[in-house]
Amino acid sequence: MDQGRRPNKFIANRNNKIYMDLKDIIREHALPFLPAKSLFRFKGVCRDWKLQISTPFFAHNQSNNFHRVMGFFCQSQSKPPSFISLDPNSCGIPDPSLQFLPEPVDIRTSSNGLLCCQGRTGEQPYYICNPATKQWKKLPKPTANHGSNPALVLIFEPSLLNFIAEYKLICAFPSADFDNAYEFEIYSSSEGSWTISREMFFGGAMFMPCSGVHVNGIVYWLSKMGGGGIVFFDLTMERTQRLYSSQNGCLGVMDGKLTVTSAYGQALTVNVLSNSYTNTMGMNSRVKAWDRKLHVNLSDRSELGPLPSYTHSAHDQGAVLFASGDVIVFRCDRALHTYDMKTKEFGRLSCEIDNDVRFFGYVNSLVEI
Amino acid sequence: MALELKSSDNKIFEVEELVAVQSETIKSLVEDGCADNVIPLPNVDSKTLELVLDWCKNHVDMKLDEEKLKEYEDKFIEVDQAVLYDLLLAANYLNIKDLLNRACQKVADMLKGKTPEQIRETLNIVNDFSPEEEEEIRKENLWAFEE
Repeated sequence: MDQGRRPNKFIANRNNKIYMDLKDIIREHALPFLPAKSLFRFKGVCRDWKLQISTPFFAHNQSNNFHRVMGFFCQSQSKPPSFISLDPNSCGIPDPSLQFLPEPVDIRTSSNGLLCCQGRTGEQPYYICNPATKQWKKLPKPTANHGSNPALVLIFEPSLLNFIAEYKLICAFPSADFDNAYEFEIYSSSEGSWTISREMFFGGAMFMPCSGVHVNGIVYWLSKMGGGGIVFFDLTMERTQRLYSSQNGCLGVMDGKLTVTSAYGQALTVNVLSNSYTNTMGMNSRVKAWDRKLHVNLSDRSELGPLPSYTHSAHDQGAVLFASGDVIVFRCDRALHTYDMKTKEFGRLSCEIDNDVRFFGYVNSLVEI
Repeated sequence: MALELKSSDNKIFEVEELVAVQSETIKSLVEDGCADNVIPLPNVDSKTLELVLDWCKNHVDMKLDEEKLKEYEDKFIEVDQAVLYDLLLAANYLNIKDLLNRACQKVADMLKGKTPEQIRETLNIVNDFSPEEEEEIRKENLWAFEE
């Protein structure tokens, strides 16, 4: 550092932020951009840093400033969960198998640093937890029976105004009263209670668990029916409908828009929903809603090793496991590969996964529940 | 309307008011009616000020084109550590929120993999923990110190 250019901090009142030292600026403004693991480690730098990092106000700032998915939880069958980090040095959690929870759980959904898990015995309660801080909360029992493999989506968007995390958990479940219909029950953390929506989905779709994503107040799931398709629930309008999509694949969110990412032939394709107003059109409206966002050829990449030629059923076999933000995670047999859409680089994750693995993106946030 | 800014090494920069008021510090001076003469900025040298003003100008020009602006910002922040620290200090002094945030994000990316000892060395921070205190922090958060 060039000492001659540093502002002389003895000139002005120490509280005058104009004359803040470089390390003071970094402590106050740059630390909230770090992932949780780095921050726990930096508690050891000095007393000021330890104090700064340990306050609830700091946790609030960090959850608002750091939102990159840098790690993934995987779980197969009834085995304990495991954690994969894209950068193990800076992103990580103390207890990947979530043993800090009161019972063994199945991870159901994840959103911005919070996980929703479900116990396996008795009433199979839902838990919301932050795996970095090991804070957890057991949710009250829902009114309806959600079935054995519920299609859940956790919605948590950090906000500058809310110091306590406000989140919603929506479950799409087969109706007990009507055939071929789905109902929706929503938990709101601010109300502390569940509500069953008056809106129901009729029409022989099957909401796929672990497929759901939330974008701008609308929750989308993949639907298993015929050639695929997407179904959604609009939380604001309380409406549910089918969404036409020519492509089957992994749902995600990129630049604030819904995307579908699939592997076909020897390529990855990402389609983005650019005209979401088509939600309000008739069920079979064929107005062009989707745009091609990205097409990546995999065949000329020697670093990927021998590739299968993905077929239409590749999605059923879960070829693309995660595709949101800047990261795509896809599998070749048991190996996991990553593609960074910003740097256009491929990577390989050093672990193998089972065929039936459930995969969840995770943000290393300090958010307090 | 144009404003005149003077860097620490006495170079004068003539800038459109619309561009300069991206700095909350300069904005307050303008609003208080103190911006008629040359505004001295003793904490920012000409090299850094030029970069800062380029940021401000592009943020006015590309305000409506989010993608183009993002591309510009990504390219702008690819500088070496010394320049980055100068930008950080200037953005804080001039109170330019988006530049401060972007520079902080870049600094965070540079620091995130380091050990506490490396952080202290890079930023000239004194270790005011006793060896026992330091050991306790390490033990409490052992997972964070491992890869």
